[in-house]
Amino acid sequence: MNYERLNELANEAIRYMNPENDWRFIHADSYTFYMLTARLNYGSSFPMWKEVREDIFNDIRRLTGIRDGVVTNFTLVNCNEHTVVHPTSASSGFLTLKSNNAYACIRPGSDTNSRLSAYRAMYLHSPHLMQWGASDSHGFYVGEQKHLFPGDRVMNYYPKEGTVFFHFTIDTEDTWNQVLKSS
Amino acid sequence: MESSIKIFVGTSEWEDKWIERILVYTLYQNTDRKLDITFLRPSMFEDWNTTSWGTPFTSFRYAIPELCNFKGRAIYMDCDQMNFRDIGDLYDTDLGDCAFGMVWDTLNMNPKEFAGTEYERGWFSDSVILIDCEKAQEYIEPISEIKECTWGYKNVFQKTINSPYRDKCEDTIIKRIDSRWNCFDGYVTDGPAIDRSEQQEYNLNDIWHLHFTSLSSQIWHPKYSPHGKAPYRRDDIAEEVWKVAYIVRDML
Repeated sequence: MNYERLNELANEAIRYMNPENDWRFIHADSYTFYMLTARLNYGSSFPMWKEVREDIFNDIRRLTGIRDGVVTNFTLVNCNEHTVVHPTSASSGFLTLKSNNAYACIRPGSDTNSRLSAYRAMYLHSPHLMQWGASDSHGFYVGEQKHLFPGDRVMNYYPKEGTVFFHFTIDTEDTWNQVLKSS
Repeated sequence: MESSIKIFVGTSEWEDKWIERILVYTLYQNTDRKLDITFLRPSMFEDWNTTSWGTPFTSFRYAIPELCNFKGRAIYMDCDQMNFRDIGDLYDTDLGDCAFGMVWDTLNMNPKEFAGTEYERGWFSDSVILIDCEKAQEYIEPISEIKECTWGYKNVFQKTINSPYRDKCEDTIIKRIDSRWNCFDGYVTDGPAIDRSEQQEYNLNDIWHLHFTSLSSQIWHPKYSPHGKAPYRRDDIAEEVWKVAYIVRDML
């Protein structure tokens, strides 16, 4: 992953774009660059995004190991002290640029129990005090200029004021085709 | 000494700053006239009933004649716009005996009661209005009554000016102005097509004043918008907006 390019895109977007809302990142300034569903294909008109989009998508395919994957979302999130992040969906990841002591927890799976636990723990004040091992989960401080991609496992991400990350989702070829067929 | 052009911009408290700057910058870029710009923000009208409004500023525009003491002319515009031509040309438009100058919007959806009739679609757009404040007094109630309206004063106003019956309004109450003064996302707002997919479009150089009227595809997606995001259709317009966005941000 070319973090120099991501840092440039983030800095330029935060300076020149209008902050938006995204229900997954409550009370954060978000900047949606790309969104693909069975019914909608959204691409931001932000000039720099058009230049770097394909390279970033290829980097995401490489780092996730999903070579024929279809990137379905790419969003920049600039957090403040009030930001709360919903537990992640399957096959989504974070590219953290600035951590500021953000914390994350990877759950044991994507089953209903893991997801319910993740939602119950969505608003944790001090996630670093939790005994994550007792629930077969893994908690850790998030590093900077690094990616997190837990595959199908559910993850909680606890940002701090000043945390900046890109969030992406990527479907395998099969998953994407199922999405299209079921729509 | 030439008096300034009064412009009132309906906008949110802070969520539309991005496009506000672009609008103001382009207004000044294209005119040598003095502009007196007032932003109509929710904090100016805190005790107003905003039930059924589609934006944070929907009915503030009807306060303009009284804010001007029912004297002179004023221009109203929504904040989601960008100027390409001297706004003084709009200000100087001959209104005849009419109180308002507005663009005809062929696709405007009229109230449900007119569905299936010849009046189902088509009315004057109130997102850019040239107002004769003295004459407007006849058609707009005092602010003390507008602010109490429980179902959106826009509806009251439309009925007062005989919407959707064009023959009972055009050239007596409303003067139809050139649609390039309120060009909906590049479309010919008053074109004959009754379907957006068939509506004609202006070249960029033929647009006088652009209105980003489709909320989903607005380039800046304000935080209050409940709508999903859709891509902006016209690359040439988007490029122009971003050019100005970079300029105005670097001026701060």
